[in-house]
Amino acid sequence: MTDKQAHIPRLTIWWMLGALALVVAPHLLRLPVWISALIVACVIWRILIFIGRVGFPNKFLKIMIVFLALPLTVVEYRGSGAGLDAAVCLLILGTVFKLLEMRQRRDMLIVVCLCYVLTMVGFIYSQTILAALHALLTFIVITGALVTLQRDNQRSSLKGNGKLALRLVAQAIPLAIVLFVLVPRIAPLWTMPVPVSPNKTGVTDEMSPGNISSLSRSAELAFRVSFENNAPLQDQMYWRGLVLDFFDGRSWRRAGSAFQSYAMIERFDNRLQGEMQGGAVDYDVILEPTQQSWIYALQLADFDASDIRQDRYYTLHTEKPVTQRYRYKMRSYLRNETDLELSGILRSRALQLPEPDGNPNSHQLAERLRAQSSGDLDYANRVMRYFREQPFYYTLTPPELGEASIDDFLFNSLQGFCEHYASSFVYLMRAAGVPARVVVGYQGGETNPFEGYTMVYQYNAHAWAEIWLEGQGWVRMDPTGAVAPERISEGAQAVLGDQPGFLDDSRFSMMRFRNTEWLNTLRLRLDAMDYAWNRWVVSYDEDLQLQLLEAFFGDRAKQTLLYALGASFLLFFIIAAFFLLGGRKRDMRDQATRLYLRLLVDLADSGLSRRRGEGPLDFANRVAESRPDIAADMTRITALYVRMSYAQDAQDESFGELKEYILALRLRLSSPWRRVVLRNFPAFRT
Amino acid sequence: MQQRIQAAVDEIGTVLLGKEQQIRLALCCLIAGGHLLIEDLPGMGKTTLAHALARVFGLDFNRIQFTSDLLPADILGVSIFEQQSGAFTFHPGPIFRQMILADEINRTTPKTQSALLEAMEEGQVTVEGETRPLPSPFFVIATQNPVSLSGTFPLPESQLDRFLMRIGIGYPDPKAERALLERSAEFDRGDFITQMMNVDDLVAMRSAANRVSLSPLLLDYVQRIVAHTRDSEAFHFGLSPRGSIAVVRAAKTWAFLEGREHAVPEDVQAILPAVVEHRLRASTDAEGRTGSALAHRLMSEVDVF
Repeated sequence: MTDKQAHIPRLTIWWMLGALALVVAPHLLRLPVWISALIVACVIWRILIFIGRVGFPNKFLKIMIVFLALPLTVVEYRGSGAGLDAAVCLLILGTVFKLLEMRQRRDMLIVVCLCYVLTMVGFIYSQTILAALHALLTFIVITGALVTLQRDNQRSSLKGNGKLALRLVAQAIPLAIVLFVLVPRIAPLWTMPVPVSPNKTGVTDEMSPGNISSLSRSAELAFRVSFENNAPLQDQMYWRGLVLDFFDGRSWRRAGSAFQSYAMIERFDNRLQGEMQGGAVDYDVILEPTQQSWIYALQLADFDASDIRQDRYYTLHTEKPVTQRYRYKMRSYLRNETDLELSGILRSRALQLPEPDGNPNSHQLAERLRAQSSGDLDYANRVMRYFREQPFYYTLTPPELGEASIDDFLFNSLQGFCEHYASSFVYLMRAAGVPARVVVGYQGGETNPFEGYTMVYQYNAHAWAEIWLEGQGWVRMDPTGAVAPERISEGAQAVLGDQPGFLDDSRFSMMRFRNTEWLNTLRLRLDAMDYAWNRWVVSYDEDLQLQLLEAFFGDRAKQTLLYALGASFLLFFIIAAFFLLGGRKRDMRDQATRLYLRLLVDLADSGLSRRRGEGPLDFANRVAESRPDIAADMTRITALYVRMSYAQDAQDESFGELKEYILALRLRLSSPWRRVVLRNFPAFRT
Repeated sequence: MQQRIQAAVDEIGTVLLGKEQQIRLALCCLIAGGHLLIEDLPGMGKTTLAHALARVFGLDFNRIQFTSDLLPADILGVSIFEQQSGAFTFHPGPIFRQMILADEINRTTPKTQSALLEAMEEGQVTVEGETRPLPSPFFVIATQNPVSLSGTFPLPESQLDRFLMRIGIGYPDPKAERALLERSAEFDRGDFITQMMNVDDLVAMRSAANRVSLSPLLLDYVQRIVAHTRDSEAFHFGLSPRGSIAVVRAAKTWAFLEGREHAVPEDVQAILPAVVEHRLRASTDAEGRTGSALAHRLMSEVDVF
């Protein structure tokens, strides 16, 4: 019985089952119920086999299980399109099935390897600190299983094996960190169809009454920002997302969004169009996955990243929807002027009103205020004052609006969330001939006192307005600020915290307990940890690597790294070669052996192979018996070789002789064609 | 020298027909200065071989028949009070000879066995507190019946280890047996052997065998063999360093017998069964029968180079 067929120690099975449970657990909830059930059933079956209640499944049953599970998986995942989920599912099933036929060491080793792979697969779905800690624990347990497998049974104890596994993993960590930091990040050759997490909505590209206030029910993180120097004031933090400039009487959309294609979004030199006048803020954003292709920044953004485009609304777009955490660096000039000259198409879009327009009262209001004012800016301020002075009420739960939404809101309900104010404000502007548009995004954010970065949550979602003024370009106007100034200056939760409906979707979020001091501290601490993790580990990419290396090695970091890596690989191979080949001096003796062995290969080709353990003299005798024609040559060569190899006084000249004889004999043994090669190309002689 | 050795081999071959390999191994053992254990069934010619070996070298020879009631003093000798001188004088036992044939060594008790084996190892005996050297050269040729026979005290591994070689003789082939049957009855004793060499020749041969050179390649081979006995699961335990020294010593002597000045793998292979098999036990062998065929297994599993 060879080593590989040996039975698995009992302790190992427990370790293995523990490891497998750890590996599979995070997938169980995600997988379809029947697959989870199948997995649990298989594990229970294995335990029953282990304690001797049932036997191993027979061949027929095994085949049945596999042939049932395979098409069922395919059917289950048919609709999803992404092959990744199905592949992961099959991998897990395969691992669990292997458990049922795990009888020998070899099977066990396969399961161990699969467990390692599955642990890594888990990172496709989650890259949080928790996931990393879970993976670490899993590695320790898998390694423990491996340890028990390798150690003999007598010395095995749970504690001892655990300790050794812990030590092995601990020893691997520094190496893993070095590799993580130093190994060049190469863009993947293929893109993984990353699974999309559903139910996550952020700001969308359509604004209708109610859909921003619905975001305030969620305490989900939208993005986190760390400012390089000083963070701007709360009321300056308008995170622009999209500009919506088409109004259909009820909701706002992007103009021409129906035929919006990526080709239309052009990057142009914003230095020409928009004047940057200082107030520069540098910051770094980690955006949670939005499944959308626009990203958020302060006006007016400047950036280096090549995968971000800025369109003529100064909104920013990525090439692909953001399906994973996305990190980008920005510099924004808070004092800026954009579009001092308004092009025809933008102007006409900024003046668009629904046809037919069903808000006559609003039109009247606009005309009245317009008549009183001296200019566009004065008019805008009068409208703002109107919002301030009339009994408008800022609420998360406004009443439903009727057909004529603007009229209904302005003169009837007077209750609304920011989208109502932004919408009606822009409407009033446009009605008076002032170019205006709605901007959606986020406003404000909570500063984490421990790490000094800003967290922006879904409930920070906001809508505001921009109007175009002669000589000033686009100017931001926030009618919500006129109604509920605290919303802008102190943030959403200060105002909304007491309102019914706020954070209703995040019933168990720690955010709800922000008034309990220690829980709030804990929340902020945890978030700070998570942020640091995301910032330095998950989003550690080529750029960050380069930055880090430049800090250590100066400007030529990349080359230095490549040289260093090359050198260390070379060094590794040299050391390995030294250990593998070294120790034996390569002298004439070894060369003689090499020549002799080469002759043996040729002899084996002609049907005379040396038996294992057969000495050269015995072999020569045997050859002499079966091939009298080469007996003399063989005897002479063997005598020389034996002298060279085993005698004390091996002379170097006899090496030349040996070489000659061996070549001669090999020529006699060879085919005519090979003879030519051997004769003319010494390189082929070894 | 080789011719004289061949002549000696042929001379012994006149009484032990068709067993040249065994005779050469026995000679090799003697020249290497080791003790020899001959194991075979009764009547196979063990005693004849021992006798012939002694005579061919002209050695002072004594035979001790081991029985179950033999005591250490019967071998080593005793001090006896003599009335004339009024003192104890030591009467040396039969062991004080150059060559001892310890016949059927495993029929005696372990106590007596170990007395002999101690003498073999030390080259001296201690009786009543006084240490007396044994003659030089000092050889022991022990014969034993196979362990499976009844009425035997098997030698433990530790004592088997002290024999350089263990050989069996085996049944003669039909031709040799016919010749044996045809010859006259009184011819089967070693007394007809003529002396071919003397003690000085033996010493000279021993030093010549010592000069046989060992190349690194050959030592590698020996080490691979030894390592294999220690690593492989086929063996209960591996060869001791004493065992590996014995392999080299015997291989050198064999090379000398073959007329070579250097040892080759074939020399190692020739002596390997005799030198290692009584020191090894197959892992499947729970009863402690040290194994034959293990050496062949070793030879076929270890690469020569």
